[in-house]
Amino acid sequence: MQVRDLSMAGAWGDSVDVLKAIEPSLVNCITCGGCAAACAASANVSVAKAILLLRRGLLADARAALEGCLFCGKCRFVCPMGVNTRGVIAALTFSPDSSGNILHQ
Amino acid sequence: MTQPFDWFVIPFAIGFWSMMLLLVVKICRWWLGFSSVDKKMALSRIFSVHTLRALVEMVREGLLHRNIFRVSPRLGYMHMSLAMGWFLLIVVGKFQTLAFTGNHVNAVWLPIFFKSFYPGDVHFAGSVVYEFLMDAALLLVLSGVALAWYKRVAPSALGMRKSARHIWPDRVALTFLWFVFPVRLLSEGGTAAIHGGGSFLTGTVGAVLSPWADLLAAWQVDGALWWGYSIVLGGFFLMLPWSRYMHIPAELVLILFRHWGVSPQSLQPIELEACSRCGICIDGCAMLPVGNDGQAVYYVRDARYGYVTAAKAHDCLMCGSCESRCPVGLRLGSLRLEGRRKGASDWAVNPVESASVAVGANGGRVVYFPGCVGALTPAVTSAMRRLMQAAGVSFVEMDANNGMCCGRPLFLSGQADAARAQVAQNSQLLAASEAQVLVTSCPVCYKMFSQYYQLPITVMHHTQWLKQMVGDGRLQVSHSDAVMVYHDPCELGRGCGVYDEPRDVLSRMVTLQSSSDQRQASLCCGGSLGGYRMKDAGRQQIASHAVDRLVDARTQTLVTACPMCKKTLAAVSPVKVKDIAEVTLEHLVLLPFKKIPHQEKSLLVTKQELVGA
Ligand code: SF4
Ligand code: SF4
Ligand code: SF4
Ligand code: SF4
Repeated sequence: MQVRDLSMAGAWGDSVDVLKAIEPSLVNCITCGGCAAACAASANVSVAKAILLLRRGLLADARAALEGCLFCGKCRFVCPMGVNTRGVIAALTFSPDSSGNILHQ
Repeated sequence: MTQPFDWFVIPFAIGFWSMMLLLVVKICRWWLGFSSVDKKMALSRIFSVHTLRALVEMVREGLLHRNIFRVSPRLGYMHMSLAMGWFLLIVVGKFQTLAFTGNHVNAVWLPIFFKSFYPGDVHFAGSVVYEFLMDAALLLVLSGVALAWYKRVAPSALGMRKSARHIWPDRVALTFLWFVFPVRLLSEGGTAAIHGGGSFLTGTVGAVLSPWADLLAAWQVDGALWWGYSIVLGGFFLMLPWSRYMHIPAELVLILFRHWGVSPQSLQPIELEACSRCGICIDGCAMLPVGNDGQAVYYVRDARYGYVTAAKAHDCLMCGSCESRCPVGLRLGSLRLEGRRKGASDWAVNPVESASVAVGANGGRVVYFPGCVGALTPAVTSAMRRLMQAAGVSFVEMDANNGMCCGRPLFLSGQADAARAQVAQNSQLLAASEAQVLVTSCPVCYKMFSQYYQLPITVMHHTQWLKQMVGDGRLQVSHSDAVMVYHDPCELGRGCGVYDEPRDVLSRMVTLQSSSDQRQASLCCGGSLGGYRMKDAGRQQIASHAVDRLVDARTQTLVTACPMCKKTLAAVSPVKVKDIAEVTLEHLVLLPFKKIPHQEKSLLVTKQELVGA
């Protein structure tokens, strides 16, 4: 009989592993939603949602949940778990790769 | 007079001419990269007082290194002796050959190898003086070289905590440089031993070596030494354009073009090459406690060689400490941002529906904006509200529904276009309101609104507003026996030059301690918006370091003027951390029956009401 693997292992796709390596604090998120409540951007922007979607391996949807983010850092200011939300946002949106040369892409 | 020649000049000539060729190519490329406006501007200023000013600065910074003297006199002497001594060797050598040959134009190697071609006591007009001056200049350079050797083993001896790590072209060039002048001394000394001549330095070395003069002559040691001198000197010139020593010509060109009014944007490629990798920026870097290698010197180096990783571009708090220390005056913040901009993929912000500015409510001409993060520090915002009421200022709060951001966070992360969209939207909102004065509690907002917006209104940070109110007597404060120390927020201090206002207000109320890490030398708290890659542990290390340097046994309260600094410092501080607005509120003396206009609930506010709640 096959038992479904209920641990998080494997749920994070390859690219999510890359993100975790860049911003390890994202695993601390308890999806309390504090970040979304404090958010300065439009109502659709939510780090909590993005991290939740990431956990399901839905990278593109996670990215969409951050569209319009102002990078203001209010979410990090309020996060009770010390998640470096701006690090998560940056890793997801505009600087996913930290090793290669960025001057001649 | 025919020019003398010997085969040993070849290594020198190769190095020298390859350097000259590369310098010309580089300068042409810089010029071609200028915008046409910049080119026109530069051309129009060639024959003007600007050129004279540039020359004065070249002497002051390129030769005398006044700015480095300010950092550390010994380090300044090291740079000055190398530059000035070498410069004198070139100039005096030039006149020496001119006096000897009577020609203005001589082979480039003639002044350099003069003593090998004309050894012994050669007499011509002023020959003794020239020999003396050449020896004096050589001694000056050698003293600098000795200090440079010493600095490698013990950086602290020259007033530096850390010395920059160098890459291989630097090491090769450095090795050549270290040997150029000692070998020159030996060559001239060896020649003097065999043929006589030489002044107080080379002559003395010659006298010391003279017992072995026959041996030296038989084995042609002097010739070998001149070969060695030519090789190390040529080697240094060959490496110069590829190593940090490119800063010597680049700094001079940079000074000239700055005075000729070329825009900062166009100067960036020159700035990258004008960094001497002196390492002065390292000591003040906020990231030192976490042992980062993203310091300005390393970023500029990598950017110069065209290889910058996202980590290099983004592992920086943009605290501005390096920029304020750099003796070359490089605009290190802009250089870093350029890297972030180039590496950023597009990120569009949607127009933010929730942003708002209340329009003329209460006839308010003063708009208060706590800042987006400031809005999350209720202690500060409520203190400011109460102070405004107590001062009788009718104000409206901008963005009551927390949907506004000044745009600086996007700007600092390299998202220039998205930031510009923010600026445009906020400018429109402000223009539509009847605001005349914008007071903000956030230094980040203050910098952005005052320097990147073209607003027809006065922008103030709340420290400036408090100073004005306390100065005018509209807020009366008492003096307590509390002992406090003030932390300069990066964006307010180095970013906007606001150092005196908070100190002025605080010293009217409390005993204000001074610290060696204040004003320009203030340490970043680690919570800076410019450094989003900083992990919590690192942030705390940086904050602890800053707190340790500020707080001593007498300190009762650590005061700052930035919501971000307050939160970051409070997480690690052994004493209470407060905003200057809170401290002012605590020291407020309330005038009896003072009328508070535009206050709906009551016209009178008691001190209990103000301080309590
Ligand atoms: S506030 Fe922090 S812990 Fe809560 S959802 Fe947001 S990121 Fe997760
Ligand atoms: S950084 Fe982005 S997600 Fe976080 S509060 Fe600001 S706008 Fe919202
Ligand atoms: S950036 Fe300035 S201070 Fe830093 S190493 Fe270069 S020249 Fe020196
Ligand atoms: S801006 Fe601050 S953190 Fe960044 S390199 Fe300069 S001193 Fe270091």
